[in-house]
This record gives sequence, C-alpha cells and structure tokens, in this order.
Amino acid sequence: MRSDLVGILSIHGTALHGLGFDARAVVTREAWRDCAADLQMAGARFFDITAIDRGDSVEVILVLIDPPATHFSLRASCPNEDLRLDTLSDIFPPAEWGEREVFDLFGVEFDGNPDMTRILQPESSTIFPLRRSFVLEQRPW
Amino acid sequence: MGLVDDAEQPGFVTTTLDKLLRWGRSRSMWPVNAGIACCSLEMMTTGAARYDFDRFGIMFRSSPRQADVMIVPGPITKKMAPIVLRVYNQMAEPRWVIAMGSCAISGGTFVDSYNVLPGCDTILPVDVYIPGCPPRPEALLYGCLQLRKLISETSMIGSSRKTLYVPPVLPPEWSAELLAEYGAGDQPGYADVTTSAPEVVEAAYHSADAPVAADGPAAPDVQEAGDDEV
Ligand code: SF4
Repeated sequence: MRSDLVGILSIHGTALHGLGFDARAVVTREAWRDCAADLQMAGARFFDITAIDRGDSVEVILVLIDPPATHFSLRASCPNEDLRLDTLSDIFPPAEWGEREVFDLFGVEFDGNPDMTRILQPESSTIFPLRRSFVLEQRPW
Repeated sequence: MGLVDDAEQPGFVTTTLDKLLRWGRSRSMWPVNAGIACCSLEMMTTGAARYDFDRFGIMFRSSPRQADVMIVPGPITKKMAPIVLRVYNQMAEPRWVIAMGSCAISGGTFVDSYNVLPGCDTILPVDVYIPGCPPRPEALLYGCLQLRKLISETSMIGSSRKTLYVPPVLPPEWSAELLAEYGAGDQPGYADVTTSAPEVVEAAYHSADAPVAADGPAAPDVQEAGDDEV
C-alpha cells in the first residue's frame, strides 16, 4: 500500500486493517464520498462495489485497486432504517451499474446516481433478495 | 370409384386435407432458435452433424414467424418470461412447446430462486417434457419424435387445439403494462385471470395445479416423453 493512500485514509479518520484481499478501511457515511474521491485522485482504481447484510445494517463495500496489484476495500455501513449512501458514479463511472445492483439486491439507495432503478430483476419487482430478512417462497411440494 | 363414393361422404374433403396437413406439419417441425441456458448446448449438438436434426425435417429458424415449435432449453427467469412469451406469441399457429431439461420442466436446481419461474409450463402450454440435466441429444431427438407423433395424431380442424394457444397464468410480478399487453384483448382464458384481484392472481400462480380460470378453457393435455425409454 502506498503511503499517500494511507495518508488519505487517515485524513478521513480511518486506517487499513487486515492483509491481502481482506485489507479494509471503514469510513463513516459522511466521509464515504470524499474519501473515495481523494483515493481516486491519488491513483486508486475501481474494481467492484458490493454489500453485505450485517443484520441491523447493510455494509457497502467498494473494492479498489492500488496499482499495480494491491486490492483493498473501503466500507461504509447504512443502518436498516436509513439505507442511503452518496453515489460514486461520477468519481468512478463503472460504479453506476454496480450501485444499481446493490440497490436491486440489498435496497441501498445511492443519492445522485443518475438511474437508480432495478438492473437484474424485473422493474416491477418489490423484493430485495439478498437481505437477511428476505424469505424465499415455499414450494407447494 | 371408391374415391368418388367417398367424396360424397360428409367431411371427406376436410378430413383428407387434414391428413395431408398433419403429415406435412409433422415432417417439417421448425423450432425457433432460442437458446436460454446450458441445455441449449445439447440442442446445438443435436442440430450438428453427429446427431443431425435435419434428417427429421427439424430445422432451426431464427425468426419466430417461420417457426412452429419452441424448444425451451433452460430456466426462465422472471425478467426473461415476457420475452419468451412474446416470441411464443409471434410464432405461427399451430405451435408446440417442448420443455427440455429439469429447469424448463420444474425450475430444476433453481426452483427455490427468487428470480426463476418454477417451470416453463407456468406461462406456456407445454406438449412434451424431456427430463435430464441436460438431456442427451438422443433424448431430445426422442422427444421430438414423440412430438411428431403427437402432431400427426392431432386434428387441426375444428377447435381441438384452441386451448393450447392460451398461456395459462401470468406471473403477478409483471408490471400492469405487461399484464395488459398479454392479458387484455381477444384471447379468452387468461383475460379472466389477469383482470381479477391481485390476490386471486397470486393464488392461481402459486397453486400447484394452476387453474386457467373458472369459466375459461381447461388446461391442455400434455404428452410425456417417457423417461424410462430414453
Ligand atoms: S436442466 Fe441442467 S443443463 Fe439444462 S438448463 Fe437446467 S441446469 Fe442447465
């Protein structure tokens, strides 16, 4: 990990924990967007955006690459009552579809995403299937 | 002599024409070229030189307008369902459906998924079911030959196959627009279901033996490709 990226993380009140693919930095929701923007300016590249349901909150995970090959993730938690987060789609353009997928499967809405609609499920769908609270339909047999 | 005598019988011309049509249709089943999932690879193999669909007059058409058989080779996701149904509705009548593989029969390994229909017979009237995951090309060939038998034995004159054109029940997740597109209008049978209250649609969709509608036509008889012989 380059020292300037470590410095950016510490400016935003966080630090890197874990090794290898598990390297992670947890930021507050307020610092999420600024931190990602600063990391992008310092050369971090977008790899993936996904989420985990932690029960009482949904943790959104932004996986970044520190070129040439170091992966680390930036994470922010949204409480279940308020599943909102600032968009990163203008900082990392490919994040737009990733955010739509997180919205489709977890129900986290990204403020500022130009097209916050369903991407994998039919538009009329009302479920968020990867949430822990989602119960699959019972089979008749 | 005999021909002239027979010609005076009522229905001689129509039954003879019917026989000719049945013969012709059963010898030129043209499936629409719609590969949905992994079973379509077996479908392609069956079309290729080693198994050679063409020798039975089965030739894949890229346009649904030229096709009269739809082989459903895989699970239908809820997002894909309107498209599959649209392709089906664009096919020339009379038309038949072959459900190929466990996924198309019942949802297969994806049956519990939030996004997959439990079998393509929830939206399409299926004539032949071919079990397997995936079925071998021989099984597909056998299923097609069963369908050929079915076609050559079913009269197209009169109303005997009318019910098969009616997709039984539409998934309640579809938007009102889609339901209106497929439900409203001239085809009897599913208009009743889609215009009923949402909970009625829901119940019809999830019940094991999905009824078409109280006063609609009965669900079509289907023919199984016996798995023990395959
Ligand atoms: S039945 Fe098996 S091979 Fe066929 S589509 Fe389903 S999973 Fe794939």
